[in-house]
Amino acid sequence: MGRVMIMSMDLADKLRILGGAARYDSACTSSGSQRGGVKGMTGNAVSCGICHSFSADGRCVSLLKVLLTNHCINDCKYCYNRSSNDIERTAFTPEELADLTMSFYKRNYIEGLFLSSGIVRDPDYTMELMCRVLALLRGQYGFNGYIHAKAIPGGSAGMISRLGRLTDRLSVNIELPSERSLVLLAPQKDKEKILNPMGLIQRGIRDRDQRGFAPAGQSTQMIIGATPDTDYQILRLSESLYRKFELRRVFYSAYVPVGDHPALPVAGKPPLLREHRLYQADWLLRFYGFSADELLDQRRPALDPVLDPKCQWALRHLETFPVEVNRADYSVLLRVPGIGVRSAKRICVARRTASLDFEHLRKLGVVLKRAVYFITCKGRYQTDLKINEGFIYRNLAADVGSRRQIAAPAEQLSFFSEPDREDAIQCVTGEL
Amino acid sequence: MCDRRALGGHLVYLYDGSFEGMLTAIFEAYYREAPGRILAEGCWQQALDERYEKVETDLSKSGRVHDAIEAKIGKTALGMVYYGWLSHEPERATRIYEFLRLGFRIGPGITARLADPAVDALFRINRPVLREYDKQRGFLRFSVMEGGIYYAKEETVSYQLPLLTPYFFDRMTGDPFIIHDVGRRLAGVSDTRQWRIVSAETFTAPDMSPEEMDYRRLWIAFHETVAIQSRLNPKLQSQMAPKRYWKYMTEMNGGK
Ligand code: SF4
Repeated sequence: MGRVMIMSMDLADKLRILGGAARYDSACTSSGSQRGGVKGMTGNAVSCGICHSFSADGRCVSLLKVLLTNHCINDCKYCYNRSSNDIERTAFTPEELADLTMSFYKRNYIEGLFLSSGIVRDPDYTMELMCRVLALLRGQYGFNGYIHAKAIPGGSAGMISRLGRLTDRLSVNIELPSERSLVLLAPQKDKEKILNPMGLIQRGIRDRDQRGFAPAGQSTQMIIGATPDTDYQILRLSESLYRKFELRRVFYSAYVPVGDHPALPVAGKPPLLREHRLYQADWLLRFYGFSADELLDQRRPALDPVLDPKCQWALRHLETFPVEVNRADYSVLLRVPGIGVRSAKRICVARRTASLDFEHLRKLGVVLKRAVYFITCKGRYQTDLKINEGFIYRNLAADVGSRRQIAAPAEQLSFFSEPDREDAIQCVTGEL
Repeated sequence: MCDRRALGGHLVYLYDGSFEGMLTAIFEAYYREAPGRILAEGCWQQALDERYEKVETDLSKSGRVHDAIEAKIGKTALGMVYYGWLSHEPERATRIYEFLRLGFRIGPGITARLADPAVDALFRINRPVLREYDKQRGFLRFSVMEGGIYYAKEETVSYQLPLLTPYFFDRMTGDPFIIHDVGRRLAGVSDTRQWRIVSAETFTAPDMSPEEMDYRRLWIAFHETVAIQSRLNPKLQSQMAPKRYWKYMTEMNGGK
């Protein structure tokens, strides 16, 4: 009976339902794979990824992000597709999805496909269905573009290895940052069901042979604000995931109320600022050489809403400043507020041929408004500043405050999108 | 300075707008007389103390400059010169000339001299070109026309066809396409075997294929559905996808 309904449903309606159901997944990047076109196939991949559009919430649209089906045997309380939720259910046929992907890709709407699914029957059967779609797309349709697939918690080694050979990136979503939350809100999942496939993917990537296994690596996602887990716990978890499973990315998704379980927060605004701060802190873990314990601790488990995590850290460690830009190591420069990865690299290059002053730094992309409290050029501060924590905090906070007003109602400040875009541009220049 | 005035003011070389033309003008600047400015024909403001000289594009001269840059200053610098040429900045060729003068003096090390005004100036001209390329690789929209030809329109600030055409040639291996730069009346075309850039003065686009409208509607439906209502942020949206690109983006122009 269900089948008849599926067949008769308009493709646009399916797309609305199955795209809508997948939208809470934050990962939409098409980055991490680089390959040129191949005769007889369609598509290529660019390692920095390409944004093809931006939706009305300002998020990048890079992949056709859909569920294969929103039928699900599980009842995770935070999830819109939970079995107890009374919603319309449907599924794509492999041909429908392969044709949509190709048609969208060739029109340059998308960079590829992000395929996820509710669990039909059991995890392996579900992954079998997903593999069928991807094998059709890669084989018959000759699709050589980007594919990100979600491995299903509880899936076997055999299915993971098949899925990995068809995709650029695999992910298993942790969703809830602690076991306690998992027990409470996702009764059919447990830590093992999630971490086992992660380990399998990691091994697949390590033993990668000629045929390739998820060349763009592995990622995961955590929901922020659905549970009482603190920023400190979350960052510690991310840190250990990067270390243990060599993940490329951890995504953070501000919880949008879709469930009515008593343990879940009731309707309200998703905690976007908190999500933003976590992304900044995550950036510090991956590219700036910080550890979670340097940024937060038991007594101070939440990231500051006013200052970004790097400014916060610097203020608590004034004894390490000022830093002389003409001499300081790259790793030390990276810790200065207002100096990013790109500008730190530029400084190291530029100071080989010239002794840098503040005007040079501005040209090299240093945000002087933030950096001046923490650096000297040729032994001197920019002006006579009285350096103490209260003074700097007030100035930095005033700066952030004025910017926030301009950016209102956007809680997402521009800090985070900057490095993304910068990296993209660097990627373009690197081609030549 | 004074004797130049006696000769009739600063010399301005005018080239035909092509990359080779620009390199020829740089050749002349080196071996004949140093210029005040180097400009593309048709986009300069006459100044009282300047005299003008048209440069005839000469492939052997431009080839020599090209090879000299590559051999003496390096591939990165050559790339910067090329991206600079794609810019819409009227003084681009003058800036490139100044960059090269320094480059021929100090060699490959020039690209590390980020704080030097001549180097900084060219980087500044390069940046918007690369940013636009980055945007346009994602925002360009093809329509499927009769006969299976993929057709896209664009109006870019900088000249993007020399970058976009080879990029899509690699991506669209099996399908012929036309990228139509409406403002410059040029088109990047591929017949799947090779690509080139041709004049589009007299070009009329083929008719749309019958199923084209269906796919546009599907894409618009998808694009609408992925936005999370409680996170709506049109300001961030237009910051990331500036409005000047919307004209040709299917999901932003209602699928026209
Ligand atoms: S298994 Fe996945 S799709 Fe099913 S209810 Fe849980 S989170 Fe939702």
